[in-house]
Amino acid sequence: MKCDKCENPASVHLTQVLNGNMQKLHLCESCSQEMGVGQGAAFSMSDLLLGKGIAEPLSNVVSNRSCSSCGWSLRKIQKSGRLGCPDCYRNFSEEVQPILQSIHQSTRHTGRRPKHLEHKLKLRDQIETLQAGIASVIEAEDYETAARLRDELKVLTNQESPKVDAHDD
Amino acid sequence: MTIDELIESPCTWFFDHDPSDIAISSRIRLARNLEGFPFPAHASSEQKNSLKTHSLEVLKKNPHFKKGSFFEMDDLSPLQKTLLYERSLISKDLAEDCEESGLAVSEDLRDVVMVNEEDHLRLQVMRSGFCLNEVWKEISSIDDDLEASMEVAFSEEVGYLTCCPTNTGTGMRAGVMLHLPGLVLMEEIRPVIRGLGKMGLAVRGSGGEGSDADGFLYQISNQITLGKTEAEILQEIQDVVNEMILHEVNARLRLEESKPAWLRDRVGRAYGVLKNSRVLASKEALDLLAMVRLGLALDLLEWDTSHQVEQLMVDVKPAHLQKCAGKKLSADQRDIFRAEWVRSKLAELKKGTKL
Repeated sequence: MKCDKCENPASVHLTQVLNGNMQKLHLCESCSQEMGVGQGAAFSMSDLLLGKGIAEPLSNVVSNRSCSSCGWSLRKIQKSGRLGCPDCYRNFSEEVQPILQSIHQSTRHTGRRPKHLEHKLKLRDQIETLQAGIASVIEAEDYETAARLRDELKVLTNQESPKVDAHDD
Repeated sequence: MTIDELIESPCTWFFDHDPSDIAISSRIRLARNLEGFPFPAHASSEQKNSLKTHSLEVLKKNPHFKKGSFFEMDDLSPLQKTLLYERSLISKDLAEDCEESGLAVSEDLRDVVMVNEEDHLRLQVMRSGFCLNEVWKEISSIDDDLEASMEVAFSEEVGYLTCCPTNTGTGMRAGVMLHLPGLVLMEEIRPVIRGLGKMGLAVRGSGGEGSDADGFLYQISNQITLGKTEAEILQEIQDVVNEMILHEVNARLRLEESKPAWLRDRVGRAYGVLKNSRVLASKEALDLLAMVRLGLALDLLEWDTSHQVEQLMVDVKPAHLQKCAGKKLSADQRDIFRAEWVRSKLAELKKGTKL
């Protein structure tokens, strides 16, 4: 059996069951030492798996693109299992997705958001609800209500910052 | 507070309880990064310096750190850094490699922010006992204040952006430290650890990632940080911890019932070795003290001193021991002094054996 990181014969074999999925990792002596396996050093299986998780989607990628913000390359992500800066997530979004999927079995954040963003998203929801409301009252030819809702909409759209947040891309 | 005052003050998260408490402490940490800066491992000294200065400035204004202490890690000695690690105030990584790193500690020593660890900011809140909800309330309030004054890297799609993708999403690692001698002695701990692994939970030693479970202390924490809300993750851990506590209580009862002589023998021997040894290694001391803690919990031993067994479990760690000795000691000297220190503390006991 060959090492998952290089082509040498694998001599260290690791197995972890995560969320009912068995994940295996095979390493040669030198790669396992490099990663600190078996030396009591701090490592987690997920970190190790990164090397593997990313090797698959990347194996067909010929280019070694670099992040336009920090210069960190895809190959470096593959080698270290770490990203270079927050923008790497945006610049390598396609490549990072399968890594996240393999670690977390998900690619969609559902938890806490920064407060300022939370406010903006709520506002967006309210605007969408109002727009739908206006459409339906117009259809019912209730122009008085439509005018009132349009005024409310105006207030909300004014509140919404015209600048698109860099986080949203 | 100076670093020496901080190190001298008691480790409240570890001491505020009774030896029969199975859940020792609850801890949550959040990984946060700032827009516009490379992650620390990839940043230049200048970039790290400017991030550290900026973050410490912001933290000084944070209400949670109003009367707190702020340190530049480069100013601390290796012994001071190890002391902070032994008290779980900082991670092992920060104790070992801390170029241009910073540290903010709240007045009550329970809230910590590490600057330039693996991520720009690592917030940590720790409390004695089993109280993840309370800890979450505290840490999310610190997070709110930080987000109001810094541009934290966040994407609507994948959440908080962290250096290692194992933390992406909530950036949250929540854990409870448990004292599980019953399960260990009944040889039931391995299947439990395997079961937790299947649920995507990590079981580690008390020293954090990569550490052994010295002193029958185990930390149970989440591995998954993306796709679940913080409340869902916390609930999962709480459910598991409640179950683990029941298992441990049950294992202790069965120990008492099925092997009363053997149990008393183990506790009595531990106490005897601690009372009489002349050379004591750190791991051995922790394991023996943990056995004594079990003896106290089961009312097999009596402890009538203010010097708690938990305090001794911290005292015997290498850096704390040198602090107790007031000088630098080699590993061999430490083992001798450790035995002496423990003997002197046990000699203060008026009662002791009961069994």
